[in-house]
Amino acid sequence: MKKLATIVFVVLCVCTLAIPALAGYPEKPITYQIPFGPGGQSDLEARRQQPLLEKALGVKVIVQYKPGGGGSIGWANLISQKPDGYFISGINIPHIVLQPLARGNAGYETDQLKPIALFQATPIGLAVLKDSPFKNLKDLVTYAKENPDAIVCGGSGTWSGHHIAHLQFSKAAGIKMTYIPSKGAAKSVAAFLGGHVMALWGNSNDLVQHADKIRVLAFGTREPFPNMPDAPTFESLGYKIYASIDRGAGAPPETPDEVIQVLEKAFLGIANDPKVKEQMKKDGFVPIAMGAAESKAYIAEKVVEWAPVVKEFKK
Amino acid sequence: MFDFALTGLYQVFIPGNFLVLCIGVFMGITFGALPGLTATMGLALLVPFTFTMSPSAGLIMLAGIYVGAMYGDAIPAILINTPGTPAAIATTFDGFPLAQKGMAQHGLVAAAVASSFGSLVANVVLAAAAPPLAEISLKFGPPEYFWLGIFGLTIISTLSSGSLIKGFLAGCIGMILSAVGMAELGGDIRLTFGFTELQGGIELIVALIGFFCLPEILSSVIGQRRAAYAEKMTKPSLDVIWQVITALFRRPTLMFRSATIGTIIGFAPGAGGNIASMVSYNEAIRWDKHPEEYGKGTIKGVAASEAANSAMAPGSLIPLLTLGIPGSPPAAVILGALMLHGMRPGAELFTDYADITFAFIMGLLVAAFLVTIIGSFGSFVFSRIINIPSRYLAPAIVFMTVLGSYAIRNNMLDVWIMFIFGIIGYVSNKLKFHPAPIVLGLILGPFVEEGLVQSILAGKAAGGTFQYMVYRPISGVLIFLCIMSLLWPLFAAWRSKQKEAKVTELTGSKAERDVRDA
Amino acid sequence: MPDMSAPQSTKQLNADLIVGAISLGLAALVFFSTRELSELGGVFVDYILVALTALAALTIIKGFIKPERIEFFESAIERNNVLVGIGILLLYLIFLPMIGFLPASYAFYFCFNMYLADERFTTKNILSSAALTIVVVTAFYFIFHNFLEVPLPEGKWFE
Repeated sequence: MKKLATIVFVVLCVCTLAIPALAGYPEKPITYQIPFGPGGQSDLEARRQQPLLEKALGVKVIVQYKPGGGGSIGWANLISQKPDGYFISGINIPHIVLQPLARGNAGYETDQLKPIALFQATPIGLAVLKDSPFKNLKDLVTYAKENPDAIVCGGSGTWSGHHIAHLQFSKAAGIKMTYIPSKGAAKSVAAFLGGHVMALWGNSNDLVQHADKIRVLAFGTREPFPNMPDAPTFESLGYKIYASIDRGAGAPPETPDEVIQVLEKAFLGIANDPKVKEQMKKDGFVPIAMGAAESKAYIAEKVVEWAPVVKEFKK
Repeated sequence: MFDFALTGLYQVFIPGNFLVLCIGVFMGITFGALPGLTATMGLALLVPFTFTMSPSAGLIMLAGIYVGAMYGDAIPAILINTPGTPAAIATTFDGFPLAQKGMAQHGLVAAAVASSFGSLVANVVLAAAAPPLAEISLKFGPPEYFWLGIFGLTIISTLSSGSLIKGFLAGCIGMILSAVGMAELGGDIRLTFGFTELQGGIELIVALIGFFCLPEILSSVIGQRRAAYAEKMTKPSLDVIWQVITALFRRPTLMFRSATIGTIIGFAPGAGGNIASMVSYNEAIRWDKHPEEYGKGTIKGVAASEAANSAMAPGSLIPLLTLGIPGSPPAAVILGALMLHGMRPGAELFTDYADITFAFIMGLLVAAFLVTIIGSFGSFVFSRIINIPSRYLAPAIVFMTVLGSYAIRNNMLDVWIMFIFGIIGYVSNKLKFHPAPIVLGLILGPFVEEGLVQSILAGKAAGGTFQYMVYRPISGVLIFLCIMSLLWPLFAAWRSKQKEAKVTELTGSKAERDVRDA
Repeated sequence: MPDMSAPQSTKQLNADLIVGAISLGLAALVFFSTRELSELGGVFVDYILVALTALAALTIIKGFIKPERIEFFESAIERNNVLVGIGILLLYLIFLPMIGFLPASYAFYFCFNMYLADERFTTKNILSSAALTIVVVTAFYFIFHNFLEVPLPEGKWFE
């Protein structure tokens, strides 16, 4: 009897010791790294979230920039940080999938980033200027079949969401088009508006901003894009192309699940906040709220989808 | 439009807003002045503060920061040969020699007045003609960027007044350095030799501190044990301010030309103001009757550089406000701030949100005036800084540059790069191999590459790369300018030989003259 | 006319040859490191390499025809000064990540300040040096770390 009591007592003591370790998180300020420079979309989202995160978590959230390599420097830094939940980073899909696939050594591996949540989707659409001779996607495809490589499409970056969408679509439609990368979405939009490319693989928020000057031939979404319900989806035209840039948050590998849960709850709370959703929709984004497990599955799905595309087109 | 301007002006002078503007200008000058901190960083750090304010107040503060930083970067450029931000590189060319001659205050006041003037001119253009200019800026396509980059490189022929070959050699080295890291357009990683931190490339400011600041310290302070940074002490006085202002007002062509160059380069999206000051400096030399004065310490050089780099700021806001395309990194941060306040760039800024937009623009204008006042009076304090004995000043400067280099990307490797470039810069100076062309190559490399690669791709699709790159109106103009720019030094040399020949004809050879005049 | 009065304690160097040789070396290094780049990534590098090699060759040729001779260090004292200065800086950078930003900076500022002083190691010097070190370094650290929230290296030895 005494032995049992001692054991129970010891177990209780150990439990109470452990509780502060868990219930204590978070106690110190948390660093939220943005793997891009200030002023970009990822920065904007983080700034929007910052006060709400501080309220939800009860500690200060410090936004830190670590730009370079299209995000790879930030993610390489993330995996080397202590997995105690006090250092998290924004993550972007497809970047974190495509960079290790395309570069061989990006400084990190896709599965090393432990996702916390995904909260924003930016569907990618293919657009032309209002005065373009292509009135719909079919026109474009027909022209491309007759004039291989003549159609010039702009987009942001190489081995990026835009580039992959271009490659996937070209393959699906059996055509060859030229892809001209620009340094960043803003520059690709400038090149498009100036008439230097014939079509643009654009992010939904940019397309919404210039909606009065352009015609969207198709969106890479499953459902029609709410801000532009008349624009068809690739799927409805017969091409299974789903392209979007998704933003979320991730933590170093080995971060304990309990810690991830706390962060996940905070992020999802913000993602489901009606005011936040309203703002995102107004700017042309699609608010999403995927938790840690769902995000992990989504990322794994994308790896499977894109690995063969990269392999095929990378020479 | 006038009534909007007036309401905007009224907004700026509301006590709360005006206070915030002044704070912004102070912070801007500070950020611009500390090497390693940039206008972009300053704006990014202070944007969250602006959330709690009304949109007008927040934007007015950002306006103050931007304008302040465009002046602030001249301070270290003049005092310690270190551009506070890359935009002030050309300010070191004449600014530091001025400080050496004990005329640091002249330089500082010239910088303040020229900055204000440049800002003013560009703001008027912004307020009056933003939308049509933005349309023009869109016409800059890949070939135009390529030729603009090449034009920038031709400046090397003026900068390397000694040996043209070595100057262009330095430029090529700079361009190779710019290739380190991820190739934006190819996606490959280049020249990182296994250092993953180098994937982001070589940070420009780190290279600048290395090439400009450290060699000066190594050679004078350490090598020659010079007790003070400058050869002569600076004695600030009120007269100087008045002298400089009148001197600059007597040169309206210089001022207007520099401001115009800055505004134009500002609104070519992404071209970045980093080259505005150098192009303006180059043009100032080209059109001056006494080009030999440049480089030895003349306020004309400082004015040309500063007017242009300050004009660049409002210029870069033109494509931003009308199309949402930032013309420079600080503009990108301002875009973020606008979006956070729910204001989307485009026509609505000038209609639905006109009162806030014009408050912002007027804020830029008033900030320009503030810069003259603060800069002129501040020059008393600032110019005394280099009178501090170097054994106190130099360690502080090195310490600050280490801090700054680290702070940019939170990367220790950057500090090492700064150190290595410092040594390279020191050795280069000894080998009479000026580092300025290397920096020019580093800045322009990405433009030239982007223009080249995109043009090749588009040219292939269009049927002929050469045709694509040359048979275009704006490209044609730029190509013409490049050729002119390259040949000009030869023409100028020929012209001065003619003058010399004429003088010899009239008064005997130089040797004879020297004997006579002795 | 050669200057016979200056002590020839450091030798004259042919600046053109040195610059040209280093540039050629650089070109070779870059050439061999970039053979596996994709077409888009490599085209610019190739063009620049051509220009670089050509200019380097021209510089070397000039080095033989009309060399620009320079004296690297004006005196042995200068050389020693510079080497010590570089040494102090090098030590600073090496120790920074090891013992942390603040301690390393204190040490650096103090050493550098002492080194630059004309008379060394008088008590007055040491005290004033130390005082200045603490004030200047701490002030900047405060502004950057606490006010601007810029992260600075913490010492690895202290983790």
